[in-house]
Amino acid sequence: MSAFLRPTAPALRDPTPRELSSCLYHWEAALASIDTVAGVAGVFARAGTLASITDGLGTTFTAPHSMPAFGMVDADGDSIREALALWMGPTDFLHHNVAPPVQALSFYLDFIETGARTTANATLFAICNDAVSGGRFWIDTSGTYYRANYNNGVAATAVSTLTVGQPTAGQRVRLFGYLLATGQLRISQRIGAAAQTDGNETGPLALLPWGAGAKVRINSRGDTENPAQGRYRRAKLVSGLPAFDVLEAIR
Amino acid sequence: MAFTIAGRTFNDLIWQCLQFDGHLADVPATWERTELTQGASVLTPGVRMGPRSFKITLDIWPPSLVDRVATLDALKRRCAGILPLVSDDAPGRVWYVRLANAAVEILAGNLVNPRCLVDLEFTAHDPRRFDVETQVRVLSTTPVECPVGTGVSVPPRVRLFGASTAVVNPIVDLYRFDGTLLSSLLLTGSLGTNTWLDIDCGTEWIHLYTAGVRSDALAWLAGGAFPQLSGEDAASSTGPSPLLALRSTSGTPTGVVSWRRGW
Repeated sequence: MSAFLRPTAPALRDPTPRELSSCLYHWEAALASIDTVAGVAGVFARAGTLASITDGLGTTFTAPHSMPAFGMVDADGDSIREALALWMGPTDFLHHNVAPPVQALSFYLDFIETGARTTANATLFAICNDAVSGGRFWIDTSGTYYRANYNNGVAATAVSTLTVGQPTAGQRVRLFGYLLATGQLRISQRIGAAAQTDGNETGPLALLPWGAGAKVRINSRGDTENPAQGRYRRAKLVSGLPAFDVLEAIR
Repeated sequence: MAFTIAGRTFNDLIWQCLQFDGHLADVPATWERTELTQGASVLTPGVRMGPRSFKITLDIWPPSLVDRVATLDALKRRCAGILPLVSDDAPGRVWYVRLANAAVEILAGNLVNPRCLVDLEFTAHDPRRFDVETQVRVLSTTPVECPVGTGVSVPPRVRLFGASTAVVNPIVDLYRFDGTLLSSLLLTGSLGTNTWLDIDCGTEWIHLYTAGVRSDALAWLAGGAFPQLSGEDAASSTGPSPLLALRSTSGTPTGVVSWRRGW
């Protein structure tokens, strides 16, 4: 490096981008942080190691005890590991101590499938408190297909289940959909570049407040309940019902 | 792969992506420049920086000749100004681009057939600072390249792993692309099972994690400098990049480094 470019103090550095997010909730692995885009601190736990994480060259490593395992994935099947992802196994838990206002919202989850779909009730994403009580929303699997669930803490759980599309390990999956002000719920899915498939839209259900202490969680429903697994890239909650391309691009 | 311009998708229009300037290639991607022929420190007009261009061909099938005009006009409006260009393949990367050239090709005999092809060439001016996609490399005693693109003094995040055979007094070495040792970060301590060091070269702070419990570890710092990755330590656009490697007094040092490269 030229001596002109190596001053002593302060160091000349590219500023680290700090983004503002227009989402209700926005976490993105590309930033290599467990914090949300808006800066809400992530709380991560894994009581052990996680093996076979891949870097940008395909070299694998084992993430040590409790270290968030950011690795690089090939999101579009062209054999180039171009995208960062948080690799999470069945003992990994991540949550943010925020919960969006109870309102009409859209959800979006972008991840690489690693086998969670075949484990019934494995939960990829949730707005739920530690006790798994009160109003709560979560995305899990029936063991066959992914599904979205809403429970207002009083009535029976509304479930929107996909009936087409069973992602296999290594495939990029985007799960998205909406929760209307009427309590109606629908999940949709895109596997890789394939066309969108939709689950059923559930019937009306009163929107009631989230359970006390509700948090946004990735890879589990409660503090330890129903962990899933996957290589997570993005999770968003957005106010209203934007079109898919807007939901995908909004930051 | 889909591209969005200003948050709107081009999916419905893309027929072929002729060139994306190697954006997906995990290779050094510094700016284009001609090497100095007179030797280092002699500046000549031979130095130049080229634009980074994105060429996209759209196959447009409007229903009528009138619609063709309307479609092209709409396309031109959509492409006006400086636009954020994003690929859904790497959504963490944002290029701010301007339409540099557009060519409409009316197919032969298509006075009555409204189909046409449109070549759009976008140029990313001064693309520094807009790529937020982080890179990850495994670290060991063998130096590993860390491509930084157009980034200058990019602070990496280094995580050193403990092992059952403790890693004692680890050292992080930064090399120029040609193997010249630039700096070393000297640490004093022992990393055993279930421990790892988190070295933030941006804030120049160190934390130790022991079975998930974080503690301040700045006292590990024994000397040297926190490594800063820089395109100035890389070769030309197709050349190698700065390297990082680990050493230790005993044990086998391993770890991982992440950083944000420019574009």
